[in-house]
Parts: sequence; C-alpha cells; structure tokens
Amino acid sequence: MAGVKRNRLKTSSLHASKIVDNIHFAFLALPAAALLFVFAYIPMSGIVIAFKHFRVTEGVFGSPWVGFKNFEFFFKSADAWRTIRNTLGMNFLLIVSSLICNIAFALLCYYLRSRRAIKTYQTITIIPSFLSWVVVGYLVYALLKPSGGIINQIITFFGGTPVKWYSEPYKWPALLVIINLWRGVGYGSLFYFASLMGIEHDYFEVAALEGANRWHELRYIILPHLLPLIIIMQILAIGNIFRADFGLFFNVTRDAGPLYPTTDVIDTYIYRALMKLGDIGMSSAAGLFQSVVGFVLILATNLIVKRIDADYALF
Amino acid sequence: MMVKKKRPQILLNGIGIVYSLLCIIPFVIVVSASLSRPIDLSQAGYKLIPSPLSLNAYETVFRNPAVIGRSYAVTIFVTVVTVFFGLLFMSMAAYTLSRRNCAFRGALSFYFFFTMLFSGGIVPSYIWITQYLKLQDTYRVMIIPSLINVFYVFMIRTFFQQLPSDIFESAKIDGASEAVIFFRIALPLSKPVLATVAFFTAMGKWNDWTTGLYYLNDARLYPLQYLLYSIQRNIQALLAAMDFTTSGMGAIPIEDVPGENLLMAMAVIATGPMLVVFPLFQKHFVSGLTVGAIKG
Amino acid sequence: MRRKWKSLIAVLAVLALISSLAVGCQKTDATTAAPTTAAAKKTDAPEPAPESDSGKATEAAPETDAKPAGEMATVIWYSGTPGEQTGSGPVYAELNRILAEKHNIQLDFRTFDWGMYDEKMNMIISSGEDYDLCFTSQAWVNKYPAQVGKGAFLALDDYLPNYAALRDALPEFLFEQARINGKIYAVPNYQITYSQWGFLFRKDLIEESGFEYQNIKEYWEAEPFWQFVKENHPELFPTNATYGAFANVRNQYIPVGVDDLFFDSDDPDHMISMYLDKEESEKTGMGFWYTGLQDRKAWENGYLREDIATVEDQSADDAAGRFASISGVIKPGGEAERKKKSANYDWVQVGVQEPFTTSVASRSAMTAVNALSKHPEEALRMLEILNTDAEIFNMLNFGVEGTNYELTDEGKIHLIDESGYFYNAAWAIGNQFNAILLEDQEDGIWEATDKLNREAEITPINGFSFNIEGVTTEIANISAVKKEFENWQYEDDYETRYEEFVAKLQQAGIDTLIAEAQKQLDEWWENNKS
Repeated sequence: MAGVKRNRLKTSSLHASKIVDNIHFAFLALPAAALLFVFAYIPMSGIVIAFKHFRVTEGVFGSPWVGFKNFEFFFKSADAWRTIRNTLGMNFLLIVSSLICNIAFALLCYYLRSRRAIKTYQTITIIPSFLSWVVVGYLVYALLKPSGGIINQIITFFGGTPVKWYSEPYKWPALLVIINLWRGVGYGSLFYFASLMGIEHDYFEVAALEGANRWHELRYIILPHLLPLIIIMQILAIGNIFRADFGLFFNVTRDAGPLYPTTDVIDTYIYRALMKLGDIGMSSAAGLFQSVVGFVLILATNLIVKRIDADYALF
Repeated sequence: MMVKKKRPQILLNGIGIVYSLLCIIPFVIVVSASLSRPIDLSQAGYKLIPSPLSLNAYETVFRNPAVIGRSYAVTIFVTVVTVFFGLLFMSMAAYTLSRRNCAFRGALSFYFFFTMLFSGGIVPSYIWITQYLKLQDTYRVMIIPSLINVFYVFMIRTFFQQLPSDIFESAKIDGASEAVIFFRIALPLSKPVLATVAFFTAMGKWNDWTTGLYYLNDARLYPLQYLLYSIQRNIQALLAAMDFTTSGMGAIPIEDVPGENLLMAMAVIATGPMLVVFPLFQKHFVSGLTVGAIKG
Repeated sequence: MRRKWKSLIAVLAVLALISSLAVGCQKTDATTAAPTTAAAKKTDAPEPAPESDSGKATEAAPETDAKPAGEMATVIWYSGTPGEQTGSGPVYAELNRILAEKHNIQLDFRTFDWGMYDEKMNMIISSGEDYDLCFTSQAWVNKYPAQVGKGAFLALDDYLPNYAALRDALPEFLFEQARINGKIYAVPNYQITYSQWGFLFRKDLIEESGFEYQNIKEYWEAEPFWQFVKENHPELFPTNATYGAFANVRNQYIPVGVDDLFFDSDDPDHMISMYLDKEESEKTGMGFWYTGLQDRKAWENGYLREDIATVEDQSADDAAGRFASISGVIKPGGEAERKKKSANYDWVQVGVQEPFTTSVASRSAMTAVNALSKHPEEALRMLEILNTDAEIFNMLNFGVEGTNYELTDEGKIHLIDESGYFYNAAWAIGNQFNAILLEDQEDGIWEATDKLNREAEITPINGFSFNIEGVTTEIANISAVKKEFENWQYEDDYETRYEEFVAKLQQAGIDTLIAEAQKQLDEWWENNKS
C-alpha cells in the first residue's frame, strides 16, 4: 500500500516537474520565437501585396486585388529575363570560383611547413572580409577609376589604352568574380583549413608506405575528408543561388546604368523598383518570385542529396 | 633530396606573399589618396605614395568632428546592444532546442528552421516595418529586426548538444530548474561558441548599411557604413554638415576645397580602428568555426 | 509527426495571442496616453531624441480635430536643401516662436540634400510615413505626375476656396497649370514661370580672357571661352554644360510635358516625336542622337571633363569653383545665388534660350499636401503663411537677423560668416517675390522677374496636361532604359550603343507612349479650337 502510494506521489511530482520544465523552455524560447514571428512570419503573410494594386492610402488589406497583373508587368518588362539570367549566371560563377579558390588556399596553408607563415598569411588575407561592401566599393573605385585609377595607370604605363571600366558591362562578370574572391577567400578557406587539420596523420604514413604520391593523397584522403563540408556548403549556396549579394552588385558597381546588361540582378531590380520608382506592385511580384523559386531550389537540392546519400542531407 | 623538397615550399610561400600583398595594396592606395590634394587626385591620379602630402582632408574632418563622432557613437551603441540581446535571446532559444526533454522541441525546430527556407522578401517587410510598426528613423529599426539569426541559433544549439550530458543530469538531480541550468551551467561552458557568434554579429552590425538605405532618413542616425555610402553619392551634404560653408566673402582657393580625398579619409577613419581590433579576435573564432555544423 | 504539427500550431497560436495583445496595448497607449509613448520612445535613444521623435509624439495624439484651446498643430514639411544646415536648431526655434505668436501653428521643416531628395521622398511616400507638405516638381525630383498617379497627394480643390490670401498671392494661371485630370494637387511656388536656359561664367575668367559673353545665341558660341580655359587653366573644367538644354533655344519645338516628347510648332498636325531616327534628329537638331553627338564633340575637344561618363557626384568640384562655366536656368539675381554655391567666385550670366512658358512651367517647383495628412487645413495654412508673410518666409530662407545675417543700409542681406544657416532655395518654399535681396543682388530684380514672366512667349498648348494613367509602366521602363544608356555618347562604340538604346526604348514601349500622348493632344486640340 505504502509503496504504491509513494510511487504515485513520485510520478505525479515527476509529471509536475515536467510541466515546470516545459514552462521554463517556453519562457527561454519566447523572445527569439516572438521576434521571428514579428519579423519573419508576419512579413510572409505580406506576400499578398504581390497580388494587389497597393495604394498607401488604403494599406495592405484595403488595396484592391489585381490577380497576376503585377507578375505580368514584371515578366513583360525587358529586364525580367536579364535579371534572372544575371542572378543565376553570376551566382554560379561566384559559387564555383569560391569553392575552388577556398579549397586551393586551404591546401596551400595545409602544405606550408612554417607555422609562422601560415599564421601571417591567414591573418592578412582575412582582412578584406572584415570590410563592408561600401568600403570595398571605395577600394575598387580607387583601382578602376577610368581617369587616374591605378589599373588604368598601369595599363597606360605598358602602352595600352585605358579602359572605361564603369561603362564596359562585359568586363564585369570577371571583375565581380575577382572582387568576390579577394574579399572572401581568406575567410572562406578557414573552414576547409580547420577541417584539414582534423585529418589523422596515420593515413598519410600508411599511404606513403603504399607508395602514394601527392596526387593520390589529394584524391583518396583529402577530398573524401572534405566532402561532407563541401556538400553542406554547396547546398546552402545553391539554395541561395536565386538571391544575389546586394552589396556586391549594387555598391561595387556604383549602380552604373551602362553595366546593367551583366550586373543587374533580381535584388538590385527589386531595390530600384521599390525605392527609386516607388513601384510596390512590380517589386513585390519580383520579390515573391524570388522567394518561391529559392524555396523550391533548396528543397530540390536537399532531396537530390538525400537520394544520393542521406547522411549528407541538410534536413 | 632536401633541395627537391624546398622548391615547392618556396613556390607556396611565393603565392602566399603575393596574395597577401594584393590584400593590402588597395588599402595603401586609399590611405595615400586620403593624404593627397583633390586637385592632384583628379589630375595625376591615384598613387601608392602621395605627393605632395596634404592633410587637407583630415583637417576638414577634425575641424568639425561631430559628424563622424556621432556616426561612431550610433554604430557602437547599435552594435553593443545587438550583440548583447541577440546573444542572450539566441542562446536561450538554442538551449531549448538542444534539450531532449522539451516537449515542443521538434515543432520549435521546424518553426525556426522554416525561416531559413522561405522569406516574404524585402517588400512586405518594408511595408510592415514602416507602415505598421512605424520603426523608420529610430535606433530600434537598426537593432530589433536583426536580433535573431537562425543560423547562429542552430550553431549554438549544436554546441550545447555536444556538452557532456552528465553535467545536466546531475544538476537536475540536485533539483536545479532548466532556467538555472541554462544560466549557471550551459552558458558559462559555451564561451567559445558565444564568442564566435558575438564576433560575427558585431561584424555584421558594424558593416550594415542596407538598414540605413531602407529605413533611415534622419542624418543624425546614420551609422558609419551608411554615412560612407551617402557621402559617396553626394559629398556636398558632408561638406555642409562639417561647416565647410562658403559664406565668407573671399573666394576659396581650389586646392583647399576637399573632394575625393575627403571620401577616402572618411573611409580610413571609419574602417581603420576595426582593422586593428577584429584580427585580435581571430584566434577565438577560428576554433569556434569548427563547431558550426548546423545539421537540423 | 502529428504531435509535431499540433504543438507547432499551439506555439503559433500563443505567439499570435501575445503579439495581438502587444499591438492592442500599443493602440490604447496611443489614444489615452500619448505622452507616455513619447517618453518611452525617448528612453531608447541614447542621444538627445531627434526632433523627428518629438514630431511623432504629436502624431500619436488622437486624430480628433477638437483640440483643446491653445494646442497648436505641427506641420511637417519635407524639402530639399543645398546642404545640411548646422545652425538650423536656433533658427527653427525662433521661427516657431514667432509662428506660435502670429499664427498659432508650428513648423517641423525637414530637409534632404537635393541629390537624395527624390529617393527619400519615394521612401517616405511608399512607407506611408506621416508628413503634411512636400516639395514636388514635374520632371526633376519627387515627380508630380507619378506621385499623383500613385494617389500620394491630396486634391486641393475643395480646400483652396477657404484660403483666399493664398489664392490672391499667386496668379491664377499657376493653379491652372497644376491641374491633373482637372484637379489641383499642389500649390506652385511663385518664382520665374518661364524657362530660359543659358550660361553662367566665372567673372574673373571672363575678365582674364576678354570673352564677350553678352551676345551668345547658341551653345557653340561659348567655345572660344572654353578653349581659353582649357589652354590657360588646366586645373579647371571649361564647362559642365551638355548640349541637351540648348537644342531647342529658339523654341521651335513645343514640349508636350511628358518625357522628351515635342512637336514642331510649324507642323499643322502637331505630330509628336522623340526624334529617335538619326536623320530626323540631325535635320531637326533635336533628340538624343544629335545632342549626343554635340556632347561627344565638346568632350573630345576637352571642354567637358574627361571622366564625365563615370563621375557620379560633381558637387565637390562645383563647390570648389572648378567649373569655369556652367549651364542653368537664367533668372534675375541668379549670379548672387550662384556665388554662394561656388566658393564665393563672382559670376556673370547670359540667357541663350528665348524666354518661354511651357504648359508645365509652373510645375517646376511646387508644394503638395500629403493625401494621408492628419491636418490638411493646417498644412494649407502653413503654405498660405509662407506665401504671404514675408517675415516668416525670409527667416526660413536666411535665418535670424543678427545671428545669421545683418541688414545693410540699403536693406539688403549681408550673410554672417559660418553662422551655419542659409537655406538658399527661396524658390522651393513659397513666394520668391517676398525674399529680401542679397547684397550682391541688384535692386528691382523681382520686378524684373515679374515683367519677364509676363513677357515670355507662352506655349500654344497652355492648359494641356498629360494624363499618365495607363502608361505608367511604359514611363517606368523608359526611365530605366535611359539610365542604362545615359552616357552612350562617350563610349568608343557610340554608334552601336545608340542603336541598342533605340531598340531598348522601343522594347520599353516608347511607341505606346507617343501614341497615347498624340491621342490626348489631338483630343485637347479638338476641345480647344478657337
């Protein structure tokens, strides 16, 4: 009797403490959850704006519905196709070039024998990633300014004709790749370097005994070791391939009109439609299109990875 | 044998040195430009070493340091407040997400994670923040909307999950509540990941200029990076704000009116200190990075 | 899985409840205890709360018109400025003291640099921010037709009859030109109503070169002066004047009032054109092609700055007086205004264009009332004050006497050095004819302006107002294309660029726009046959 009673007491107090625990959890998670609700979930419901003729005087709910008219305007405008192409194309270039250079520089540091040298290079090369795109824009301007910029001075020194950088759109895909690498490799390679440091040295010793050369090491030890990290980073990157780095495309190019054929991306388009033209309909249509395609892309990528090897999937 | 092994090392070091130089040279050019006369910049162009040397730009800035001083104050205030509350709220949520005995853990994870997959985009946020919350032109708009970064929440959660579980269990047996465990045990043990997140949050805030682009009209609230952006668009506003008025009766010699050199000087003043401070933290966050897998 | 969803819904429900409670609380706050919210707002500002916050405190007050006696409305007014005024605080304080005494009203005057004004106003309007008055203009910044199209401005027809003093201060035709679809959406600022483009030259260089500027009748006649500057003053830019504004100086072509559309005044059919065809452009001297070629010539000759295609911001060079000559709207007293903007160099000016009043002339500077304004009556009263009360008007433009300026014996303004306030844009805030003269300005310039206003040739389509409804997308697309090709004439492959430009303009719907303009104009002729 007594034993049973005690047992019941215990379970009920356990039950009570579980409730208390969960109240604590709720309390702990509340601020972050509430902030997300206000600044992520409520704006999600705002996507209805894309289907409305938004008028400031009538607000989100008072404005009349117009169906897909805003999308029609967006897709009919000459810029829609160009911005989509630029976004996907440039992001693809940026992702691939970063991946290759990040790993290459991580390997370079890994193979260096002097600890001091590694530290020095890493400390210096990471500096650009501490800069905002605004400041990078200033630096790039000092280099590329058509009259008086350093690059054109070098070109004229060697007898070439100076280039009008800010009105030559077809030079910018390469320039943006270089600028993006300049800013990002020092930092981006750290992830891979950290991962490389985790390789057990025994592997190399065994491999050396088997007569493996550097190439074999790379192919059979190092790359397989880096693979999970590469895949996770690429899923994230591909999921965001429809979202361009606004600062890079807007500020580093100085929003120069003549460069739009290659540098106008969805994000700069939305900014222009919203802030310069005040055209809320068109900008929200473009924005919703971007969000939906981005969502589908990240789900699709993850699904494909899951099919190939479930361990590598993000979720 | 030795010779053979040395050559690749020289090559590697060569690449490292060249790359490092490429990272630094643009700064040297900007510093040099800030020390030049505007007339030389437009006639002779940018140089690695300024000639003739001129302190004109810095004199202009420091004759009326209020503009840049105010911007520094805004940026520091916003960064400190964001880091403190962001870290607090993110780690609180991360703790809940890390505990297996939390009844709504799965749902909450999904609730957080979904915001990484889908967003309403800038337009609805913009209308919501400006028309309904009326946050434009406040300090709040620079702080509150960006307090929670879900990526960092999962980063901290992963760290909590990797802490030895017996510590938590023994604390539970001693009767500690979850809140107490979080504040007394989990937080103090998580300094590496917290330092990393704090560092990235601070850097993000320090470099944020788009908030200003969308939400700030009042020049007194401009943080550093947005100030830099806006003077690049129109330096006249800055000259006027610095009392570089032309209300005296005599004409001012052309060499004395600052131009691009002032832009470059502002860039140097706005970034210089951070380039000294940030690398000091580098040691900490490199170790923090490795804990950052976010598999959900 | 099911549990996961169930608890997710529970979490969402709780959050929705909390946030709706929070919003509810805010609302009651706003209606019952406005001062408390204002105080709460101030606490999270580490620096002294900006004026805008105090402005918002009044905004939080209930909208009811039944204000307790003695409580004054604060009118928020956005305008551009040639530069931030560091000494504005004391000036506004004094201004509001007098406004309170004389008119029982308060002004919250907020300015952006002209370079940012367009963008910022778009932002303020699309965010529904609270304000009462703003500067607007036909084709320059905060574009009047587009904002009216968006429903941003209040139609003033029902209000204006109650403001007799305002109506009397301005000639009737100004209001007539402001009509869109028959309604008045803004009050024009009374200044010069005609347009006359010309040159301003730095006086010291004119003296040095001995150049006779007085009789210039077209753009290229200024060339000897530019050549002189180029040879003798390598540190200066000979000019900033591009050809565009000088293409139509004899006013042969009549602007339609939308985009760059004109028709030939001799053409009985009034066929509207943009002169995109190269031959037509060269024949008429109008359109992007011909004007672009002239720009290119001036640039190749070294009269325009070498980096003209890249340079975004010329304000520093302008402030330094690096332009030996500039193009601009010529008006009596303009040299003295110019002097303050260019490092105190003295200037001389000459009109090249024959004075001409277009159908949208008075729209070049106007003030509109926010469609969402909480107190439109007070907003209009403020406009009335600025147009009729010279004391207030001059204080807003020049500052406080004794602090910012002194009156000379002739009753003119002598600015005090580094006093931190000189708005220097009287034409943007009301009735310019009420402005006190600067000491460099000659007596009687307002009378001269008034005379010129009346003498200038008037457009044959006075009263025609283009309605942009239905072609807003085309207009937006065309302006985007123009931005992309803004500097085509300075490229090496300028001929191919021009062809691309035209192709893209057509893609953007230029033909639709022209057809619509033609339709509306034909209808107008039909209705206004005399």
